[in-house]
Amino acid sequence: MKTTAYALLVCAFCLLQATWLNALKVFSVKPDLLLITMIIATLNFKPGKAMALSVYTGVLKDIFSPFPVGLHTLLFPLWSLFIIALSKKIVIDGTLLYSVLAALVVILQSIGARIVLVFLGETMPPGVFLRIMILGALYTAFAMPVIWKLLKPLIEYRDAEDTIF
Amino acid sequence: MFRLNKKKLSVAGISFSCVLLLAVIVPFTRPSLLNVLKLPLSFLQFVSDEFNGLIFYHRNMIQNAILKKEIAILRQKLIEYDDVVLENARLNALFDFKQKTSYKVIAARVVGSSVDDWSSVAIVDKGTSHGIRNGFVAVGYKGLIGRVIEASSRSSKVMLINDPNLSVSAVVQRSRQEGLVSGSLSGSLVMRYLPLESDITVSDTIITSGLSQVYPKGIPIGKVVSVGYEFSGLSRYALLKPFVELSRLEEILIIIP
Repeated sequence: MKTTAYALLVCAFCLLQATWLNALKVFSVKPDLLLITMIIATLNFKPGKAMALSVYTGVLKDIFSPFPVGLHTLLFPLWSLFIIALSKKIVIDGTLLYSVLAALVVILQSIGARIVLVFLGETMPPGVFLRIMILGALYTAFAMPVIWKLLKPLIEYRDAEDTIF
Repeated sequence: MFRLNKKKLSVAGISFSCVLLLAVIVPFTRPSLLNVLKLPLSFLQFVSDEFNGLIFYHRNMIQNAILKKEIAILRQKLIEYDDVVLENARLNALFDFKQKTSYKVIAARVVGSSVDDWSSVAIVDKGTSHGIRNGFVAVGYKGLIGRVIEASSRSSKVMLINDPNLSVSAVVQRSRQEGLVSGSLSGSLVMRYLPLESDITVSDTIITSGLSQVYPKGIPIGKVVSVGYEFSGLSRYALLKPFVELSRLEEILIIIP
């Protein structure tokens, strides 16, 4: 039930990202809400559900992208796996660590996406790439605490339910 | 232990294959999925427009007064233009020139944009059922906007000219110097492959050349804001400010050839 609610929320975030968030663009860059929701889901849901949610988030993002392959469908579960592996080594708790992780994943996502797109024949000047990658990482990291605060009640509500049953 | 590893490995293999398959399928199912999301997108865009209208009420009021003055001037010019058109028609008939076909356009409303920062795409509320096809050119009232890259039955994706993957063959209106205009995912465009001796200066108007036969000839693209030399020193480039405010698109016109 909570996973369904979370999935609906992710869909709402996706629609907001395609419409309202354009008003918050800084140097043509906006925070990646879908990536943030994927990270939060990975850190707070069980691995199986987290992976399913990351694939779902990737598919949603790919609906709006012009690229010839489902790039985000492929990369989002990969970052999800990376976060799961990382969270087994170090404790990722607290807003600051969440923000650092978001910035790191945005950088990895940018590099990963660029490599795939270069092989697909899509070109981009290095200056533009660096600008989007660095600003995107910073902006997404700053947006992380806000989104985490919004999603925390839902996540905690799930935890309470798990304890009861 | 071995059996457990084998099981885990097969689960991982099946999962990876499923994700890979999904990644291949997604681009094909994208138009129909976008159609499903069109209604909530339109609603959110409507709310956003109304909200902007309330916030920028004063600015819109002043803009409205300025536009009314402009309309009065343009009406006067239109009357003069009509005279020129009639004269042109008479002269064409006199010299038996072949008439240039006028373009049919479809007006579409922008309901969304790309969700990532790596592409510049606008989603519009008209699709193949309205006559739109892939490759059709999108323009605004002030100039070129982009090109349709994906058309579904009730919505379409338009790649904007500030996307680096879209290049337009262009000329300087004054000197007819040719170059290639492409985007930089920001508010400016770059005109490349200009020879060292090219005649191009700041505030020159750049228009489509019509050479590629994709974009009709003579559509305004932007104004030159600066001119520089490429790193190699073999050619020059010019930075352009597009005539159309690409970050604030609301309606676009799609040309049906």
